[in-house]
Amino acid sequence: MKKLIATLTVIFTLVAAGCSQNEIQSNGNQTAAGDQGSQANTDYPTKPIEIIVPYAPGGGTDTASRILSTAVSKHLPNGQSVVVVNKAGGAATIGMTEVFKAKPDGYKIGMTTTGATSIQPHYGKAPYTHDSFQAVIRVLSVPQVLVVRADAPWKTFEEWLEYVKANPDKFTYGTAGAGHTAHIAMEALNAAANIKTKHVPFDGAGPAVTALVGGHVEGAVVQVQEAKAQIDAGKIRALINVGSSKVEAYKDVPLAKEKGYDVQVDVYTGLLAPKDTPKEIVTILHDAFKKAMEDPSVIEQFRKLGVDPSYAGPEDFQKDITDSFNRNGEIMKKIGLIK
Amino acid sequence: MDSIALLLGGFEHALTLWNLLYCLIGVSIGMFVGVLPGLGPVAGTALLIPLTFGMEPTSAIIMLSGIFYGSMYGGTITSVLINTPGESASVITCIDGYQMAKQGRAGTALGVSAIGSFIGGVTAILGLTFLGPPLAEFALKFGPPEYFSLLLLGLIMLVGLMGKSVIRGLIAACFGLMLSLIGMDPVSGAIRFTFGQMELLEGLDFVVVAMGLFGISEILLNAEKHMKMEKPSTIQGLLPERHEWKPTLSAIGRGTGLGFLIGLIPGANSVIASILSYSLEKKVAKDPSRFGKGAIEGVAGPETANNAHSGAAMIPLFTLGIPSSPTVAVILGAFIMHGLTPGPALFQNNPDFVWGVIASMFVGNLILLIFNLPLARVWAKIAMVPYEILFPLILILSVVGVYSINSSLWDVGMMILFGGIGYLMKKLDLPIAATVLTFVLGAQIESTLLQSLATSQNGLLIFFERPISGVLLTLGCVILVFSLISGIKKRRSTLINDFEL
Repeated sequence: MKKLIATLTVIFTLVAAGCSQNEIQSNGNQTAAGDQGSQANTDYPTKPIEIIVPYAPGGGTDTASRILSTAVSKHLPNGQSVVVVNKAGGAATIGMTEVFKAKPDGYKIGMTTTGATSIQPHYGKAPYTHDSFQAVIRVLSVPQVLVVRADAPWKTFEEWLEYVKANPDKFTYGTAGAGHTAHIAMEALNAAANIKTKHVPFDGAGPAVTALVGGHVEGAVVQVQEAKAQIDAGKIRALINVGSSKVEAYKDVPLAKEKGYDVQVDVYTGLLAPKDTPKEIVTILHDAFKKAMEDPSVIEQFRKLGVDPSYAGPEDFQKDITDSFNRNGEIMKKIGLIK
Repeated sequence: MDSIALLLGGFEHALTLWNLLYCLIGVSIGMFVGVLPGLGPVAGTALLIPLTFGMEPTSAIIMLSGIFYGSMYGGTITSVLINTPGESASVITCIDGYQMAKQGRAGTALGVSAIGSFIGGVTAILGLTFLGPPLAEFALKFGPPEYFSLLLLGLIMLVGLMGKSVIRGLIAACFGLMLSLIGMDPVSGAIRFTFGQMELLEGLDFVVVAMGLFGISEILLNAEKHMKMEKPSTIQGLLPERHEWKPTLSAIGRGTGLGFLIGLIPGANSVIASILSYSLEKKVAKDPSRFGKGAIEGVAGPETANNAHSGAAMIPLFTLGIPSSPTVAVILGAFIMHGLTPGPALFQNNPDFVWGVIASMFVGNLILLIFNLPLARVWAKIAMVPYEILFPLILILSVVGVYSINSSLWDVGMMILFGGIGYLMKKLDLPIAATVLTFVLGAQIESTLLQSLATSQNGLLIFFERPISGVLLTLGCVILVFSLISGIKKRRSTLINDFEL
């Protein structure tokens, strides 16, 4: 028992020490940033800002949000802190609904992804749609790749294409779930190249990659960072990139559009604020997060995750969301996910 | 022999002051996370990852994996004391563990779990040390059809645990399966039984259902008794009585083997390990009627199995870079954040790291044993707190715990609703564990069935074409036929004497 108390004391002291350090830092920043605040015509932010992450802790969106939230404080007026709050459930619609309904004062913003704002609204269950928010900044735009086992007979995309053309409905590919961006991306390729492949939905990208390594499916469509560990270990390799841009680490994987098929399904991640958030507040948030994204330590941590930051301002980000919404809707109709 | 030398080198890293401290912090947090209802190991590890950014990779992984196996120890405590599982692997421990606590043997139940967990955990790590890579390659042979057969086998075992009335057991099991259908269909994406509620889109949360059905209903049931419960007078020792040692140790042995094998298979969760272990114990026991009335093997076996499972689950992660459970997936994320690529190359490129972490797991399990044996006595005292005080406290903790999962009042409401349902089920003698277990397995059975069919060229034949899946299904059929024959022969006499979940 004594031991337990001793350990607890140690833990609490550590935590307390950590907290007080932060306090000193933020106090220091407060004075330094004092005149910056007066320029912007508003005293925002006077209290901590909450970022709603509509997914459970530990996922890619959550990790990215946490990396940014630690780095962004020092770029905000007053050195205000930013807190990540996980509101998982309802395929990300619950968290985004909370942002949708929040007061437009900039203290509650949300980290959205393609699934939450460009796919779910099509099912008609969410109270919001793709343009119900004020876009702030896009932080990531991750392409998806078709991966096959390292010992698969197809060395190039062309060889693979020849095989699936000759054997329609034979090639099985795993994804993170039905109606997931990966599923939509592959169906888009199916339509563009006039081929037929069989979809096998798994419960997340991890199990899909595991099933591929075990040889239970012949391919998998996942975001690059989800395949990174196994690609680096030489167990699987990427055949084609069905997104719109290449990733630094896998530059030699061709894009579908380079091969003449118009397939560009990326997964975006970015910040949204409630619809009528004042322009000055959006600008303050945008500038602070933009600076955080340029922070070398943030870039470094993103690299380790296997992604590169991909900036877009409010207008460009909104255009991205809308385009993606329209494209996904067309494909979802075509494959019968929605009527 | 190489492995031994490397392992000793690993101890050099694990036994530095800082790494020992991180190991201690990790397992302590793990235990608390296991005790607290709602906060599971997944959230526990995920929330701490950002804290590890500044640490050495070895220390970071030592701490995070400590949380993972530490939580397996903690989950038992609430199962035994207040009949509410802290995490899904401990559902089955409620059955006999809580009965033991009612007889004043909470200390023994916790003591035996701690010893069993230690043996299971350490054996699994020894497996990781010496047999890891070849075993992991074999485990990869488990694809959707094999999972489906394994899960089906688990369900058949469950029928064997039904208790007094098979009909009542089946009603409870079907209720669980129905609950698992709520939410988005994993294959077509169609939305089922959500009544337009967004909160139901991803189905019901395990913690909400389990805490409602087990915990809240227990409070309601006891409240009815005017708060006058038979109170255990004294806490008996932590160790089993002399004649119990032999069956306990063999239960621990069987639990270790079973948990280890199932832990190797990516995706097979620890619930299956504990169900199979429980039913195995009941099958081999001389007097199966003791089960459900505080049989010590019914605690020792499953508790050992879930710890052996968590140790073995690290094998596919280290050797192949494949996460076998959600918590391990979070740890995989931490590996990558620290610039380490799990997989065969890890052993060659970062031997200091690998062996340091493996050695720390031995140390961590030892710390947990040292913690838990004396602490079991302290925890067990909770069972002595008057119910007027204990129950409101449990209620508050449950509400806060459930709220903390998604910061959602909806979940709290659902838990209370399930508390009401659980109360009715207890009144009607429907076995709640059957509902919760089929609820956990149901969603996986459905998606593995559909995945298998999507990959199959010959429809349902795929389950018999593949050797592992064929053997598992045949085994299931044999068990089913034997149970039916023995049932007819004994004219249900055994079943009537049987326990109740």
